[in-house]
Amino acid sequence: MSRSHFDSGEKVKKKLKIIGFLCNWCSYAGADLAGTSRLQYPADIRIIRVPCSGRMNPLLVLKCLQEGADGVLVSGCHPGDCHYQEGNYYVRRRMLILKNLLEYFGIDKRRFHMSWVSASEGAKWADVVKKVVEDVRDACEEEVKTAG
Amino acid sequence: MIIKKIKTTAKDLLTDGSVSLIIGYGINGPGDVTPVFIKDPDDVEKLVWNDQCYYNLIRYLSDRDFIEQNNGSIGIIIKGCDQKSLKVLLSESQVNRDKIKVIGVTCKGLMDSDGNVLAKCEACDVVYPDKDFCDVIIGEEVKKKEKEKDFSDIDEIDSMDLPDRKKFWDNFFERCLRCYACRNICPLCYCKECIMDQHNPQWVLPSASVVGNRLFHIVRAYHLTGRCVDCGECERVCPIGMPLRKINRKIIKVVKERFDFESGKDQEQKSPLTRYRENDSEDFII
Amino acid sequence: MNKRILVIGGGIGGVQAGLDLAQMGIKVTLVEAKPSIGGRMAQLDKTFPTNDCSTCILSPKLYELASHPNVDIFSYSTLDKVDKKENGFQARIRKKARFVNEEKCTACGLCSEKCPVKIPDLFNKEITTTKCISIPYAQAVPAVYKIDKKHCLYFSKGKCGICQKVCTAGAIDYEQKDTIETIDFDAIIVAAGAEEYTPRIRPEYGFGIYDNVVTSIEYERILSASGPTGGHIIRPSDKTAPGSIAFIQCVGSRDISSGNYAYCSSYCCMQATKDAIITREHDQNACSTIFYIDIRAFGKDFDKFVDRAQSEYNVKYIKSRISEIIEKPKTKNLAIKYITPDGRINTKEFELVVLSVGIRIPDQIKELMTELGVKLSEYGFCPCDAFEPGITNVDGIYVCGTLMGPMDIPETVMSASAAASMAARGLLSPEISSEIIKEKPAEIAIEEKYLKIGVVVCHCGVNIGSVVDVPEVVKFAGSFRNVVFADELIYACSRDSIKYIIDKIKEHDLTRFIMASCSPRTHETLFKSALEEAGLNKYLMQMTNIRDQCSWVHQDNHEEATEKAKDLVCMAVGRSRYLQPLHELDSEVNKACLVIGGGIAGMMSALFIADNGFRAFLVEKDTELGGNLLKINYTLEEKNISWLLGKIRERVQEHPLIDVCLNTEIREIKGYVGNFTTNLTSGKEERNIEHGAVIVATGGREHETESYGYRDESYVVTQREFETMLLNKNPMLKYAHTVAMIQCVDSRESDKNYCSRVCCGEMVKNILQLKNDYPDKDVYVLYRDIRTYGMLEPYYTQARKTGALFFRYDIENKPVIQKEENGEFIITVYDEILRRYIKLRAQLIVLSVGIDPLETNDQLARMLKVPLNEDGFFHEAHVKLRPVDFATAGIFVSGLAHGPKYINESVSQAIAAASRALTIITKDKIRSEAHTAVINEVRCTGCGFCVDVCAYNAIEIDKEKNIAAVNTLMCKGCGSCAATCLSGAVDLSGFTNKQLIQEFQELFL
Repeated sequence: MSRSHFDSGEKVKKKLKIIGFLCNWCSYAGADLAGTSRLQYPADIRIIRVPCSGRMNPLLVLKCLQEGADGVLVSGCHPGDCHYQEGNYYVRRRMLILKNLLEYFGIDKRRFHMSWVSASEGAKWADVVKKVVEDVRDACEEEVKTAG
Repeated sequence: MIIKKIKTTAKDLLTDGSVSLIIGYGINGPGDVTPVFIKDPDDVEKLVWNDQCYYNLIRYLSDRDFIEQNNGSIGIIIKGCDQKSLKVLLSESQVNRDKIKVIGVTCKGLMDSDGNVLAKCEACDVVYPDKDFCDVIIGEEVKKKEKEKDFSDIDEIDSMDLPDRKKFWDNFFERCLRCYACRNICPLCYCKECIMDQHNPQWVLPSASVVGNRLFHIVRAYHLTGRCVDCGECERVCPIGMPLRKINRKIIKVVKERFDFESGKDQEQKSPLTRYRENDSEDFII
Repeated sequence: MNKRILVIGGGIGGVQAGLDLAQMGIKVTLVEAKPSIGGRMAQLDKTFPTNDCSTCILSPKLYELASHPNVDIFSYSTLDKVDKKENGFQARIRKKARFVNEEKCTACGLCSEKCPVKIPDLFNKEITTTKCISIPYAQAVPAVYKIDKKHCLYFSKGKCGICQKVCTAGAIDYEQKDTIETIDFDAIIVAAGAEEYTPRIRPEYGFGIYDNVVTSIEYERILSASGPTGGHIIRPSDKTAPGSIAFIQCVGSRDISSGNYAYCSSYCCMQATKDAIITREHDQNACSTIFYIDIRAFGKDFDKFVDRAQSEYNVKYIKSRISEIIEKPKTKNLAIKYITPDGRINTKEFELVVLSVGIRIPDQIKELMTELGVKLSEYGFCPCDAFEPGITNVDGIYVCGTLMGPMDIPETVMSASAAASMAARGLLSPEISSEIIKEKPAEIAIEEKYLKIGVVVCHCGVNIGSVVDVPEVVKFAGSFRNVVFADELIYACSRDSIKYIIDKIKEHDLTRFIMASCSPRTHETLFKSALEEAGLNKYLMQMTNIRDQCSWVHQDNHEEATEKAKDLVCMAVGRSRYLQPLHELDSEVNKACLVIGGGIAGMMSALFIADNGFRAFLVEKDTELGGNLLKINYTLEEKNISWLLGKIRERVQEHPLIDVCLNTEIREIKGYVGNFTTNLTSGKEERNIEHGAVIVATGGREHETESYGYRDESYVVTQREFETMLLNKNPMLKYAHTVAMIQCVDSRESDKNYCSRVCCGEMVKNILQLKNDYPDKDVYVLYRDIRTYGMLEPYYTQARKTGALFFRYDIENKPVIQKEENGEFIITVYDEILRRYIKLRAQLIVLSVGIDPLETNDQLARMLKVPLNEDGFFHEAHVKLRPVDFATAGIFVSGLAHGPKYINESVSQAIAAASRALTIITKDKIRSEAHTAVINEVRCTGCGFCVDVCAYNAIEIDKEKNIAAVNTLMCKGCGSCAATCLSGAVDLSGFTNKQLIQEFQELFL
């Protein structure tokens, strides 16, 4: 458990391990499009495909952080676009609570992100990854500084 | 006199057979108010009513083993705040309303041992239980306290710097024993197998480490989203004095502000996590 | 069953018709002239009124069609010849040479990257360029490249050949020739679509002359995130973001100055509104102005959309026809002269102008139709009778979509579904099941076996291998516990490779298989079938995407890309440890359909179910069939409705497969897709019927108004009453010299904020009849917008020519009626042009009152657990692509129950509903999803959270046990329930908590 950022005294790694949970129908397709369009973005993200962002239980995000992920991203279809009608509306509420709780307990909110990326937004996907990586890196560095 | 009425009501209900058990407050010794279970009409004398009736008796109604052992109808004495817990349980189909008689009692606020009104009672807005919800109401009708929700205690923590906030909580997480008193006393924690105890998969580290404890408290709070009614029992029983209400009330505040939802208002209401509005706030989304 | 239907056109209409037919068990050959299917919809950015991403909703349908075993797609193909034969047709299909082998091309895109020749990009409306070897768009189906022979250096100069050199798959074939196939068909559906009007023939708008004048379809591409500007709104002249944008409506619509475009193109008002909203979402400072004649927001929730555009997105609407655009030479801004609401002439400058171009039928499609012998109207469309939408003058040839007339996506989808069940008549039978049973080797039981994982890492030619160190990844994969086999392949998707994989699975007795290659979205099915061939359950395969999401996006960093690929393989190994064999659940289907409502929609649904050989129960609460149509005498196109209705009623009543239940109420509907039981009561009689699908066709009713003195005045009537008066030559007409008609009575305002769609057409119809019978009578029409969309527009023009006078009024300033002592009415209305109140005198007032939903909808909705929209009409699964489906499987909607519409639209939707129901009841068994929710009964507390979040009504609480129970056949596998459950009692098979956790946990071990 020593790698978990829940512990203090972490060293900033050169490469981060950020887990991205992407819905199959929009965001995963958007990430594929970034590929077919050869858009370049940092290699710090590892994608896990889920059927719908609505599949995401906040506990999965927490577990992921506890196990040692530097950051977590959940990405789904834009509101109204959900392949399963309304999954993204529910997950938006769940993740809002999670985000508030993490922050309340002093976990840097930049560790956890959520985004809407559609199947045609390859460029947005690349931008989202860039932002998330930057944020997580900043959070890691800041944590080391305050701990150090 | 309230206590007189409580006793006669209890006696009547037991005598005419409409309930086989009354759950109320009794006394265990000086200054030690405790739940009592009365089956014999003659035992109603054991019942007491004072400003130390802290215990949220609704806990028994969500206790599967207890309900199984007491199969008949149950009469239960509740304060206004307890009524909210009961409404949440009803909305989650955990209690059969037909099998309970609800005896609502006016409560003007509980006192601590120094004679100060409890903080949770200061914040409470149901001094007088709902007439159309309870089967019996005892005590004079008191006007509902109309006041703005005061979350200054939460704002105080929110306004801390991130590292300070972390330190503030870690101070408790370092000491938390994982005795689970907070969970066990909570009337809304009724899962057959608590997610914290599950091994397959194991969601939360079982050991009492800072990491495990932090996760435990995040999950506990998340599971109370749109459910916790701020009865404060968890905080009361915590052996290390962790300010658990400050966690619960954070959630209550977020749910109120973001989803315009207050738990325990209505037994028909659905959890805010199973509802949505298309224009729910999403300022946190990239 | 060797029934085969030819579908011409691969736009959304052809795709829908093809899918419906394929699901009914009919073989489909789809011919598309362009290199990929998807049609116009693939070019759109978003769709109104929900602003859904067009690609997101379209792509799954394209993949579904392309992978359906009953479907053969001939893209980049044309029809050489179609001959009528006995009981069908014979077609010669020419598959044009792409110079790329379809079997071998992996769509890696390397050829395009290296190709030195740039050519105009037709998919992006030539705003940008593409390469001489290219694919129209990234998600194109089929994903096969094509060489443009005309521009190719190899063909023109005999040199270059770069693409052939770089293609490691060996797919480039310069010698490829056109191939011709001759196929017999039982019927033909033409879904060839339309094209947009070219504004070049209107030089006054400056298109093709001024840089910053674009068409609406070009603007869609500019808005699109995957378009030529990467989703940045920039104007062509100087690549800056325009702050002010003008939309000019009715370019090539309602316009006979440049050709025969007298019709309205129906969707442009909403498209402009949507584009203006999206523009604002891109840029908070951008201001859009829409210059219109009438705002035709006649569809479901369209008016609310327009309201939002004005109130939330600062979109300005100005009613003014624009005659000219002038470019300012310095700034390249465009000056537009228009008439202000108070009648003054004003000029305003805009940085970008979007021309909302209408649609027309291209000449080559007209030629094709002529060759097929199908008659077209003077406008080039294929007109159909109201009761037979889609049926042409040629037996066996059906049409759908915009070929029938201008229409939006949902109408196209409905007409396509309708064409499917029309064309299928005579080809289906309850004795023959339409489900596809694939012969495959018996499945090996793995429960008792050791966990043995095999990993294959694909080079994808150089696509992965040139960035990721594949041998290193293979070595790493081999180091994991339980991994007994790891290897690399140049192209894992080639036929040889698949065979190799099958052999290796058998040889090593593998129980899990990992494919590290491209996207599962495109290739999972292929590798799954390899597992099936090897006797392994196909869900024991885990794919990980080291191309699209690794090598392609980290091209410059080989080391990091390799590390990431290793991580991804590690995660896949982790997840695979917990993969379990999954089996879809089969359930018997009751091959009958319940149709609720005996109006025209219900009758047509029942007829098309029965005409295709299946039983229909038609339930009507009244004592006779006919519904609202009983009160309609004629329409603009049909002069004798009651005679036509009589014929249909007779056919319904005498049909041996239709069980007509009059005077009957529905007490209860139980069950699920394929397996419903319904309790019918008629008086004291009660009976249960069993059926596999439900069609809701309960209709709507005329709105009852209290406005304008309707309750008290006998000379204030509704349009419907007026129609009857005209028919009966009512003596009241003698007295009435002047008739005043008021549109939008109680509609499009506060508690009834929708347009009833049909009232403008009704008004026009009655004016024409009145003027025909009594040419001397005067008519005033007080309207807000005239919404005679599509082919109704010429009738409106005709009505104006009769001398009827039209006065526009505003919702803030409704007309006021006073009754004089002599019984005449004085109508006071504010005239915007004169800027004062005017008084009109009339003896008869006719109100357009619109359509209300039935109050009983609520009760039925609850019984079926399907939703209503806020106006009280049934709410379909998706406004664009599933206009007759509910989210709940096996239940469909048609007619006025769904929303206000004309008779022909109701009929089209009703036949479409029959088609959709037939896709279910033609099967002996229906199959569930493999990934479905699973309840852990020990943990479940019965709190009901999962029930509340399920969009498909697939979960119920077992009242006895107070435990949730999943109906696997209704579950779509989204996992919302699993994520909502607080007790950890719900899981999603195939995406279980353990699998997902292990996927990342393996990484941090």
